[in-house]
This record gives sequence, structure tokens and C-alpha cells, in this order.
Amino acid sequence: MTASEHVPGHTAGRHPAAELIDRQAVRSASSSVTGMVLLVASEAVFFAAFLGIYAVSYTAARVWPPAGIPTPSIGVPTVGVVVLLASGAAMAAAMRRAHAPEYPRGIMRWLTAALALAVAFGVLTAIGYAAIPFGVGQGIYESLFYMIIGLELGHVVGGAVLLGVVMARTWTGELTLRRDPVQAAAIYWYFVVVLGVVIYVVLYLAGS
Amino acid sequence: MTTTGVLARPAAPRPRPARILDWLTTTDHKKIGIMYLVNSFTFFAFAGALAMLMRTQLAQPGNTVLSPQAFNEDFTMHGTIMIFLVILPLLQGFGNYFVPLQIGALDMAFPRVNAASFWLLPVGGLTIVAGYLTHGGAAAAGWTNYVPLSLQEGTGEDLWILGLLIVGTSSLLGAINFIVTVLRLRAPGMSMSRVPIFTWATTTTSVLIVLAVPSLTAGLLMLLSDRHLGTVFFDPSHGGSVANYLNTFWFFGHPEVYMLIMGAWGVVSEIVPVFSRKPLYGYRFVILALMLIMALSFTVWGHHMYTTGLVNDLFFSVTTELISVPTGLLVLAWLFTLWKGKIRFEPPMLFALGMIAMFVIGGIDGVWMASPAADFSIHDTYFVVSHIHYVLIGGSLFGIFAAMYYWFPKMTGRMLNRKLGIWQFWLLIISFNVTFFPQHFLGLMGMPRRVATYPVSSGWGMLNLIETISAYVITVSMLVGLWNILTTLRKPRNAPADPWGGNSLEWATVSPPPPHNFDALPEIRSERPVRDLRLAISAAAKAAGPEEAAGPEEAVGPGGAAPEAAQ
Repeated sequence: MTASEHVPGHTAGRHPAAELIDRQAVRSASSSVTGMVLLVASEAVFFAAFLGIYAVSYTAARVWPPAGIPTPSIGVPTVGVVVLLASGAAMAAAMRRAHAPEYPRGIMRWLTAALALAVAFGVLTAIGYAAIPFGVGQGIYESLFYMIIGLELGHVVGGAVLLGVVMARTWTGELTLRRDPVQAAAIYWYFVVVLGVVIYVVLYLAGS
Repeated sequence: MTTTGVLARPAAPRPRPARILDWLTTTDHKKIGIMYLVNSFTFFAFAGALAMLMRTQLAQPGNTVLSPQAFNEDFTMHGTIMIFLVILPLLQGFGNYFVPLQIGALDMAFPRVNAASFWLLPVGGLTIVAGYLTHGGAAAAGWTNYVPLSLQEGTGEDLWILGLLIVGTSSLLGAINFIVTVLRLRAPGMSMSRVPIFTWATTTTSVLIVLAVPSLTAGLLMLLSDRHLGTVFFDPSHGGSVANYLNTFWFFGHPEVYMLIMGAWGVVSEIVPVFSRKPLYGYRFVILALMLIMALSFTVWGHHMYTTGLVNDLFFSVTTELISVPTGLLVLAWLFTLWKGKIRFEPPMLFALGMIAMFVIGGIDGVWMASPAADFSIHDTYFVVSHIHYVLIGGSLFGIFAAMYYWFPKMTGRMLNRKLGIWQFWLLIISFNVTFFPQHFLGLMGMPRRVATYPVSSGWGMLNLIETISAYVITVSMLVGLWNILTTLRKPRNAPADPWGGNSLEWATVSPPPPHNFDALPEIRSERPVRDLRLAISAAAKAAGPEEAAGPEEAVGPGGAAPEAAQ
């Protein structure tokens, strides 16, 4: 009394669960991309909390930024945001290579460009951070300014490390048959780029 | 291999018994799930002991068992641990064990991340508890940790913040893992409209975690930098505002209470159909209700702030009343599932029914407090304490015990003692009500929460004494449960694959499951694949003749061991 049609067949001689295990390996390949999208969603809420407080404080204040404080210079951050956008463009070019049939050939130079520009942006942000012309505790504007830029800098460092890891793994050939780590790193980096632009617009263009 | 073989003992050899190193280094979702449970029940015992200290202090007016400072530390630690290190991780522990099984997966999507999210928990928990070792004692500003009080606390407060950041990271990693697992690793045929409700509930909980925990993280970082880096986020004299903390905390805090209850709803939605021998009434509506609650829970945080004058009370009152509609839908779904069912009063079912009854009481309290007019008079009184315990013990913890009795045979291969389970249930439900129901009256009489003692003239002494005596009975019921678990673990592994006549895929593998979970999966054509399989087997047996029918029925029927003869 067999009813084997209810059970997926399996090749003789293999472990009975081998087929399930193979299928899981294939399906988990796209998991890192989904996971990164969720992480980015979470990060977006994280920054939205600070930007929300910024908006509330802006609405409550009579003068913004508070009267009598020196406003931070816009020069270095403007160069920075251009570099950041260039880095995002390099990442996009790398992603085009990732979807090309000759992958992973040709992707390394674009990843290198993205990483170099990312590091440049990080350095420019750090220079701007060091040159902020007011103290952290003078008021809510100053506190938010330091906090938001500081956290952005942290995320740039995180993104650069992620890019570096993916590049190292591409270099060793570990990712020859996989694109999802590169895709995941790209999603994170796009998030940092969008974040950098939003922060530039809110803090430097609109806020000073 | 025959169909019955799916439910019988595996052909593959059993894994060797796990050694300590296996547990420390494992990435198996089942072992990690068990570690979640053991870790959280340990913290549960600690936080429960703190609760008993507080109840002892409150037994009489003017009592001096605890100093006011120690009392403040104790209720802070009790609340923090119960919420962040007990209820949520217990539900995540069951989720860890059963979500991959219920969707027919081999493991979680990111097994190593899964191990990391577990190990962060005891680290974060011990960081919080380590506050007791510092000079100023543990954090004592309550689990909500309001400013400015939390700005004035000592080193214990910093450990509290750091520990919570670690625990939050653990929850976030776990939540991402759950969502990706459910989205990516479902077995063929397991469409989202066939996924068991417990898995659905774990998924909606995880979405809440992903979108709400970062708000808490932001609040904690601001608190930490206000304390040590000289920022002024919460300092009104420099343009900051206490509202900045309240909003970031409660934007997390209200979805948080749904994180703590959705898993228990999921458990009850699994157990009630199985022990009523009926499909869950309105399976799709239950999913819809979960999704509505998930979305609405982001719109109600202001109801914690009615009395501050900072929020639009009317708006938050309406959204809060609104969220009770899908919640009521869930309760109706369980009641209609019971209606005309063949109900079996096994321990899991008793706890599930207890959960429904107690949760309804807690839920109705919530509807009252959603009215600002009522809330202004009961805000920060014992009425609120009663409400939170009705939903967290009566709701979440009853659901967790239901899950414990329901899934223990699957996790360990051993059936918990039925009689002790029934004893634990009745002891708990009676003592729980005697302890927490009078707190409604104390709240209406004006007894504020978080006070270390109260005067004789208040007239609150009698009810408090009754509550304290009854709280000791709760401890006894917990010890009965612990005794049940410890004695059962010494018994031989004889639990059948499917002791209850279950519906979902975890019952289609042996108890406990092998490391790879399934040797083979049954075909999935509805949200109750194991029941489909059972029916197919008994139909085939009937067709084969009456004398053969007995074998396969026994192999998969409720309570029946899986005899080798069935193959």
C-alpha cells in the first residue's frame, strides 16, 4: 500500500533529504538582498527619528538656526555630496557589470572607484565635522547637527567596510558564481548616498 | 518510501547526543530556539523573584522589606527583563524552532546571524543586570526610563542603555532573519495563503521590530549622548524637549506591546483548531487582522501621552479604539473555531482558552483607557499595572505556556505530564486573577504605580495583602511547571511524531526532528498539509480493506505511536 506520489522522489543512494537541501541552497541565494532591503528600511526609520526631531525643533524655534551662532561652511560638504553622488554612479556601473554575462569580469574597477570615492567622501565629511564652528551643547540645533552628521559618518565607514569585504571576496574568486553579496552591498551603498543627499539638503541647504 | 514513512522514524541514523561545544557553536535553528527558551526562562525566574520581593514589600502599609531605592531598581529591572529578555525572546525562541519547520525549510535564512542574535541576548541581559554591581545600584527609572529622571541616574543607567542597545540589535537581526526565511525559504506549494498563523504572526511581529526598534535605538543614543557628550536633546532650557524622548520611546513602545502579543495570538490560532478538530474560522481574515494591527500599531503611540498635553488626544483615542476592531476579529475567529468543535481539554488547549479569556479582560481594560476622559483619572495608577499584566501574563505568558505544552513533545520527544499541566493551569489562572484583578480596584481607589509603600489610612492594605498571598501561589504554579519539565526530561523519548493530530508541517517529521528537519515533505495543497496527509492515508487504508486500516491510522492518529508495522 504505497502512496509514493505524495512524497517528492529522490535519487537512489543519496541522503533522503538531499533534494530538500539542494533546493534550499538555491533559494537562499537571493536572501541576502532581501535581508539588506529590510536592514535599510530599519536604518531609514533610525534616521527618520532624528530628522523628525529636527523638523519638530525647527517648527518650534522662532529663529533657525538660532540667532548669533556661526553657520557651518557649505563648501566642503558641497564637494562631498558631489563625490558621494559620483561614488553612487560608480556603484551603479558596477551593478551593470554584475548583471552582464561576463560577470565577474570588469566589476572590480568600478567597485574600486566606488570605494575610493566613498573613502574620499568619508574624509571630506570628517573634515567638515571637525570644522563645525559651534559646540555640541549650545542648543538643540547644535546637538542635532553633530548627532546626524556623526551617525552619517558612521554609516559611510560601515558601507566602506562592506564594500571592502565584497571586493576582497570578489578578488579571491569566492563570488564568481554569486552576485547577491555585491547586490546587497550596493543596496546599502545606495542608501548611504540617498541619506547623504537628504542630510546635505536638510542641514546645509535648507537649515543654514 | 511510503507515505506513512514521512511520519515514521527516519531512515537516517540519529545524531549523536549534543555536547556542550555543539551547543556553543551551533547554527541549527532548533538548538538556537531551545537556547532562546532556556535563556529566557532563566531571566524569567530572576525577574519573577524581583516581583515577589516587590509583592512582599507591598503586603502591608509602611513595610520596610525594600528601601525605596531598592524598590525602584526592582520594578525597573522586573519590567525591563520581562519585556525585553523574557516575553519577546520566548516567542522568538518558539519562532526559531518552529517557523522553519512550519514552512518546510531546512533552517533559517541566515543561520550564523541567527546564532549571533541569540548570543547577543544573554550579553545584553547581563549588561543590564550588572547594574546591581555598580556603586549607585541598577537603573531605577522604570522600564520606560523617562527623562529627566534617567538623566540623573548613576552608572546602572548607562549599563541599562547599553544592554538595551545590544538586546535591540539582537531583536533586529532575528526579525530580519524571520522575514527573509518566510519570504524566501517556503517549501513548494507553501504559498503565503497556506502559511500557518503562528508563522504569520512571527512575520508581522518581525516587521514591527524592523520598523520600530530603530526608534528606540535613536532615543537611547540621544539619552546616552545627553548623559555623557553634553548634547541637549531632552533639555528644555536649551531648546530640547522631554517630548523628544517620549515620542521616540513610544513610537517604539506601542508597536512593542504588539510584538509581545502577536506570537501568542499565533500560538492560540494553532492550538484552538487542533484541539477543536476544526479548521481555523476565517483563516484569511485572521491574517488580514494581523496585518491591520501591524499597520495601526504605528498610529497609537500618543495614547501613552494623553496627560502630557503634547499630543492630539482625540486622534490617538480614535486610532486606539480602531485597533480594537481587528483584535476583536481575532477573538471572534477563535470563538467560532470552538463553536461545535470536538473540544479536547488537554493542557495546551486549557492554556489557549485561558489566554483568550484573560486577553479579553486585558483588552477591554485597554479600550477603557483609550478614552482620554477615563485615562486622566487612572493614568499611572494600579489600573494600568493590572492592564499590562492581563495582556502580558494573561495574554502573552498563557500563550507561551500553551506553546510549551503543545510543542514540548516535538522539541524533546517527550510528552509533558498531563495531570501536572492541568494543575499548573488551574493554579495559575486562579492565582493570577486573584493577584491582578483587585489592582483594577486599587487603581480606581487612586493607588499610584511605582510607589514603594503606602499609608495605613489609604485603606489599600487588605487588597494588597490578598494580592501578595496570591502572588506566592503564582510562584507555586511556576514551580509545578518547572517540576513537570525537569521530571519529563528524565523520561524516555517516546513521543509520537504527531501526538495531537496537528495541522502544520512540524508534525510531519519525527520528534525531535533530525538536523535537516525533513526526510521528505508531504504535498502542500492547503493550510493544513498534515491533516490532508492523514486523511489521504486513512482513505487509502479504507480502500485497501478493513483489516489493514488499523495500521496507518494508528501511525498518524492522535496519541498513537508510529509503529514500524505501518511501513
